[in-house]
Amino acid sequence: MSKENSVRRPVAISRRSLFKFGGAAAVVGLSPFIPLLRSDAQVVEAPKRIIFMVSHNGVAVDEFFPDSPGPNFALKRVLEPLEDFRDRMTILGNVNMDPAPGGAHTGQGMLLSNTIPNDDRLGMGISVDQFIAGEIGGDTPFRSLLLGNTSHANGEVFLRGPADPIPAENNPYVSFERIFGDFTGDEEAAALRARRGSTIDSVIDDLTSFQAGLPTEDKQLMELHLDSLREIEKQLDSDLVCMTPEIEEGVDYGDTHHMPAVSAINNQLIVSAMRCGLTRVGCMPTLRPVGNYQLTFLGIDDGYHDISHNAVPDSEEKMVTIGHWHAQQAAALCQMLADSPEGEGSMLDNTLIVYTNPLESGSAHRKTNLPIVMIGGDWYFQTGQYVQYDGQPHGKWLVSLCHAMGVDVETFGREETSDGPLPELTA
Amino acid sequence: MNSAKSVFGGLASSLLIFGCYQGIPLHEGAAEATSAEPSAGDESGAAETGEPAEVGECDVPTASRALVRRLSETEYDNAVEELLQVSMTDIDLAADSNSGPFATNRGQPASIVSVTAYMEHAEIASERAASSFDTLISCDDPELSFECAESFVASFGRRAYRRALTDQQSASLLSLLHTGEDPRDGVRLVIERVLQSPQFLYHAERSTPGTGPGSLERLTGYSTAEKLASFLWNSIPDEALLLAAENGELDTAEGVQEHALRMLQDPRSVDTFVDFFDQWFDVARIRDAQRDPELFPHFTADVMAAMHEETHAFVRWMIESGNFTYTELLLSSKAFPGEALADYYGVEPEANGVAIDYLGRVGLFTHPSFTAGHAKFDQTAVVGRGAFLLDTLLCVEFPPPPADVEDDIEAVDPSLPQRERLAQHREDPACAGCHDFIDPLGYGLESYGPDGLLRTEDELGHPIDASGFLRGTDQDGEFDGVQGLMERIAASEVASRCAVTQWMRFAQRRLHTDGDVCSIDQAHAAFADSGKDFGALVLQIVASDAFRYTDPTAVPAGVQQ
Repeated sequence: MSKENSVRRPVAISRRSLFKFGGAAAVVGLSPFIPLLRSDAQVVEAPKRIIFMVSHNGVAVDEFFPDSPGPNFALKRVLEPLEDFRDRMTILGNVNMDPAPGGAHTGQGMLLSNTIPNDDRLGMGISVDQFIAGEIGGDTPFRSLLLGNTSHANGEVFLRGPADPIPAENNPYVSFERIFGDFTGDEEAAALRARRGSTIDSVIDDLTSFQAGLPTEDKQLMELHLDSLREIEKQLDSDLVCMTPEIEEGVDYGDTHHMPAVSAINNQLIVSAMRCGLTRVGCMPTLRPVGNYQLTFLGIDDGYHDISHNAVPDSEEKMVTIGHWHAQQAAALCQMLADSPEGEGSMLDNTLIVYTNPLESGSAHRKTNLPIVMIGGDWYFQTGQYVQYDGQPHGKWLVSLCHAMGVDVETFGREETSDGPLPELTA
Repeated sequence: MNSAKSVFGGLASSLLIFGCYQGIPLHEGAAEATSAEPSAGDESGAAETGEPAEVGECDVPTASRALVRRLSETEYDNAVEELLQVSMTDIDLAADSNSGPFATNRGQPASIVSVTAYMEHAEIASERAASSFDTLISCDDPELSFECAESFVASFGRRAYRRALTDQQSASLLSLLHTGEDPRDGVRLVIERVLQSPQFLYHAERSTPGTGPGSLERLTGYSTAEKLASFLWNSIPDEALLLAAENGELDTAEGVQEHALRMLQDPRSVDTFVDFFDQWFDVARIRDAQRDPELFPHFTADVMAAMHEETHAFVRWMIESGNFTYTELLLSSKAFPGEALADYYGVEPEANGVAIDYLGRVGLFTHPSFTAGHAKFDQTAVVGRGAFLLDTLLCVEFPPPPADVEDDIEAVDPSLPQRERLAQHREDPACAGCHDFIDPLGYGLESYGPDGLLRTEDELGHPIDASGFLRGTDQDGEFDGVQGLMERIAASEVASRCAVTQWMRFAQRRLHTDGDVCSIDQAHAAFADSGKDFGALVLQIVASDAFRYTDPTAVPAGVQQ
């Protein structure tokens, strides 16, 4: 990132003046929205961004998909919180991820990679978020950010390569420090950066001597370690200066009871980071596959996985409640983007939000009608419609996502199931 | 902690038995009779040339090849504590990746999240250590001098890298030391770098060509030392082990056993085996339990933590009382309520760690950490318990339910006992294929409620029926209650071989491959002959071909061919 770009960015405020890390439980002015910032429309065209929100265990199908396709669809109970964004939504019906060989709980590795998972249920190729990040995130300090909304959130959907899932950072305060700590522009941060940079140089030397004489497979693993070190170097080299969001303090992120609070913080983090040009790709997983967590904050005492298997009374209704909450989180994110001015409009004009789940029905582990909702991306998608397909393979949807983000590919993952983009989607 | 001498005190004699035991093949004879032992002492070399293997068709020694792995979080924390006398347990690294139930990070690429955490950890460890440099770094000078710092850097580097530093490494660390503003700052720079170096973070199994029969190669002394330290201490080698590696003492099966025996006298081995059982049986899951507070008002977070601790106390007791056997694990009548659980159990308080005989206690799987750990909000989990036992105790892996199965059991009358609802579920042949194995096993634990306590009626007031059927083993048959179930498992060869396999996985911090099968069979034979004694098993494993050799021509587990 050049100096010229960065000076157009918002002026720094020391994070220490806003946020006392690990401090007492006093809540600093809790604003769900990032501060309104000086418009930089005249200076630079805002980049396109993409955010993936992924839940697990399937959805309440009957209350998820609209009744009829076309532009005049009515949202049903699960997606009702997104009503304000109905005109900017694209809902896909009957996009098929079956047959998914390997059994029940393999969808998460396949969802964004379009590969057949290995015996450990890990996807065997790069996922579309990371692929897009590699193409469009090259000049941002963070190629992507992975933020989980409980200590149980897991990143097995998001893959750097074969069997190489990227763990989500589930502690929002650690995320906060990592994202904004280096970009406050104060002297202390600059000194730390210099020290880290020089240590990493020596560590890279150590890595080179360590891998001498190792077999090829081991060298490949060490190369991936090296990639991670280089990514950190890139963060250290950036001269961006960012405004930090004010986030709620003292949230016990390990307790599923506080998922709503963590979710709200993560929304702030991702929007603020994108606003400042720190990243263009966000990955936000919720819980993890097969996770049997009691989402008591929704008044539900049964385990989520049991519910998804209709194993408890009123399972279907509870799936609606949980899905509705997920939709609320997506709506809150969209609202935050819409409230952040950018150019002549808002950040939402330059952001594509993808909400999906590796299963249609958790009960049967069915994947023939994958839940896919996209909000934004109007520059590419003909939004405001529910498109019902006839079992198009989901790999084609991944190709469409690449095209939406300006990444020109013909297939993604398995070629035979991703031959070109989905039809009927573009503006 | 226990006195060092008492731990595994009895094993010194069992080692002697091993040495002369007919039919328990240390098997190394076969491996090394044909190979040069350039660094081995004469005596051990002579002892190695013994009986050929007598088990199965394992006449030809075999081993596997392992990909590199990073230290697990526990190993990392222990290593940093030993190196710098600082605790890092309050800060998390990125989650470990598992091989089976065990945290290994084997063959798992380091993500940006992991590497960032290593960076932050190194800085924090260095900062924490700095506050006690005066005690950590011995120095005759009144102020910490560069001279004293140099000597610390040399020993710290050797210990952290688990091998003699090369001249280049030495020079590089010393030069870094001198870039510091002062000796303290210089040491901090060195710590920050060393704790991020692959030499510290990774295990690579390095071997010496020409040291094994056929395509096998014996691991170097340093690599064997690292494996021993991981297996027995969840940590890095001490100086004695590094010296042993350099003297060639770890180049023979007997030498490795001798050092293992020494390491077993150290309390670190008890902590490590507590961790082994914790991981094997996912004991920590009790801490995430959520129970209906109206039905179980006493089931509090403190009680859940105490349940977790009770199982730890039980494992410690097995080791320290000399009852470290498979039979004790499955059938022990001992409970360890301590002060925290006494009220809950309705017994007189005893000091923590003191064993009592407790009604209904039949081994680890009647601990509330298991029975309440595998239960739902307001009812037991028959399927969950049964499936877990099959998976972890019998190593039976079931495919997940077929993708086209509709498992809507809501249609079944919810006022029926779980047994009858599940029976209706099993009328579907697609379900019965697996659930005929799973459910009847889970019935055996029905006398233990969702709160982990004994009960005579189920959630709906029906009398408990704990009769079931064990399938898929050499001890198949009916049982009535957990005692009968556990007696069958305790007698089963299928089950004890599974236990040996799990120990082997933990010992090697990886899944096993074809190359490990002979070593597992041999360890299993020795385990059976020892009365299923875990200590004897440990000594057999460290002496096995699989533990001590690598086969550079093998395809490592997890690598696609």
